[in-house]
Amino acid sequence: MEIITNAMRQLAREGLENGLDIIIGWKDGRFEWQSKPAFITEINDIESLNFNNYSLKNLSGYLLKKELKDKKIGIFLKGCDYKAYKQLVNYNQVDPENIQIWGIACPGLKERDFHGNTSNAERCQRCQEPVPEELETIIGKKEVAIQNSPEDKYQDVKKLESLATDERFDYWKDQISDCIRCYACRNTCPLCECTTCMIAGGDSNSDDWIDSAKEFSQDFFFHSIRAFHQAGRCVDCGECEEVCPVDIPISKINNKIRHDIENLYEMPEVADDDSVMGPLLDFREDDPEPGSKGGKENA
Amino acid sequence: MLKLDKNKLQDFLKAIEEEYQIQLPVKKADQTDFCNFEDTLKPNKGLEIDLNTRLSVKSPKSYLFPRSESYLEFKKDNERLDFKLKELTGKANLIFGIRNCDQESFKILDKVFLQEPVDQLYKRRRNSTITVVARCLEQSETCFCQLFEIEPAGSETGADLYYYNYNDGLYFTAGSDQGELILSDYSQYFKSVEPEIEKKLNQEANQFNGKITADSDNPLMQNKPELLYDNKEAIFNSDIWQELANRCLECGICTYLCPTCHCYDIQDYSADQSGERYRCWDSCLFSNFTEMAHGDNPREETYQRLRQRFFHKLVYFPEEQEESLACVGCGRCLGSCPVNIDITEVLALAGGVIND
Repeated sequence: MEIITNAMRQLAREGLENGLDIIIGWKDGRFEWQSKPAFITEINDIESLNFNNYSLKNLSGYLLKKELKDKKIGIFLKGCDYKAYKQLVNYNQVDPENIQIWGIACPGLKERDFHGNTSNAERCQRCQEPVPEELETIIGKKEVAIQNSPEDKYQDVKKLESLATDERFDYWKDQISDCIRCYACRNTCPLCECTTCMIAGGDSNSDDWIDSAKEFSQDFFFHSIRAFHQAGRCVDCGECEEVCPVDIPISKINNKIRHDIENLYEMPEVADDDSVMGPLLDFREDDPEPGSKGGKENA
Repeated sequence: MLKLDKNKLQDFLKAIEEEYQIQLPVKKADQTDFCNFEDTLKPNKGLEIDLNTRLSVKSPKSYLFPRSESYLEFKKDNERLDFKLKELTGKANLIFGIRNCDQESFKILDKVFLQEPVDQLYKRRRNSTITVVARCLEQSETCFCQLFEIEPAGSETGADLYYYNYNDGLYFTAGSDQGELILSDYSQYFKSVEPEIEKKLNQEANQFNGKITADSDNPLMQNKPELLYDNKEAIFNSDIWQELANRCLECGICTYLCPTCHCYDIQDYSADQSGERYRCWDSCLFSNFTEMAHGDNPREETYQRLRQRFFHKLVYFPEEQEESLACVGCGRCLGSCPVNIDITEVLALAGGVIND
């Protein structure tokens, strides 16, 4: 962590000296188990940058902030953050010309639960690419052990798939009933890039597609539509699940969809170039249609 | 003071369930939150009563001021429009094991909703709610209720009953006539308490209530909450709000978990010929919170909305309500904000503005 922090400060200093307007990194929070995004514009503030065991926050989403448009930005991205960044570039949401990226070889981070117990972050346990290998500058030790195999990362999904339909419904009903519709999952998601959300207007209380009444049907509608909109975009950075104050396992929904896309359509999670369309944009005549009557079950 | 043996708790709750709908802190997976007592009796739910965890995820304000509440039904019949007010039915609510910070937050909500014009929806729930406070004799690291002059071990009034959770028993005292009545109506569950134990518990409580106010080492308690009120102009115009706004996700976590946030919206759920009118929580962090019908928004920028939240709690509310601050130091914002924005950080930054 200290190696990463020192390199981060050094790069930030050089960046500001060479004309960048703002550096986005992390600094310590009030407690050991916190870490918060830092926006540095002055050389004097560079020493506040700190990468600690809890620097989970995916910073790539901040690139969408309107205040940062047209600014020259330097940003630190871990493996998962970088995948989200690439999606933003694929979907023309950010201009790479204005952005200097420094990669972090992420050693795997920790999270703290409601009762104060700490453990290896769940998202890190599923992570297959902690190091953003493509980047020119990567700080930290590049040899990072992967915590689980690609197949193991779908353990949770498989467990749920093995349940009967009504058991699965009961499970999700129980989870989603806790939703308070604070919309933190949507707002923190780097790939929820719409400036106006079609499922819930600009914000929570609007009478667009879902109703503000705290009804299970409305909560369920919100979560399922959001998951479908993320099909082929979500990179499993785990932000949504991390911020959820009532611990709804949102990643399981996204991972189920990703698992299906991988198996049915053989699509990469993040395409290397924009010639590969996402699953919601691409149509092939021989696409499997597992949901429809007479459709092919498998590719 | 009367003692209820912990192994009699479930029997006692089953008995008073005849009279009340009971809500109490329950452990579910990795969290603790208020749930219906009857759900804890269903073995397949995996819910376990948790009287030890200090704070629930959500504040119990939702029992007085629900996340959404439908209160009016309307129906069109040819040219006629019929309205029907929804009655509140069922037993009175008994909230068991709330902490004193949350109990004190009800006083703040009362100021908002029970002044003229009285909010009838709130009033009917408030009048049919009984509270049982669990006295705190220790704090967790995110607590700062004493900054707002709240006594964690409990005052003597406000709640209907107070208890100490000590060894194998819960040690009750009444805070209201209603509380006295419960203790006498269900006297078969209670035993008298040896005077030494009563003395010891009261002593501990007094010590604890007085202790942390003077504790200058606690980083959460180093700036007076009156700071914003006393220096409102300088702090209103400072750039700390933009700094915080850079980080803010504009989600509703802080306002929805906060025991004193009380802003709401009124909406209709309507089908072709009929519908319902309901009120639901709203959040000043949402960009359309102050958006007007003609499209203008006086708080268009994130920093303005963020500033509003803290100014409401620490400046505007006390201006309106005889200097009462609208925060109880429960620490939920401190524990749950994904980007670590909380009221003590705001006070620390504001302190910096004043000292510069």
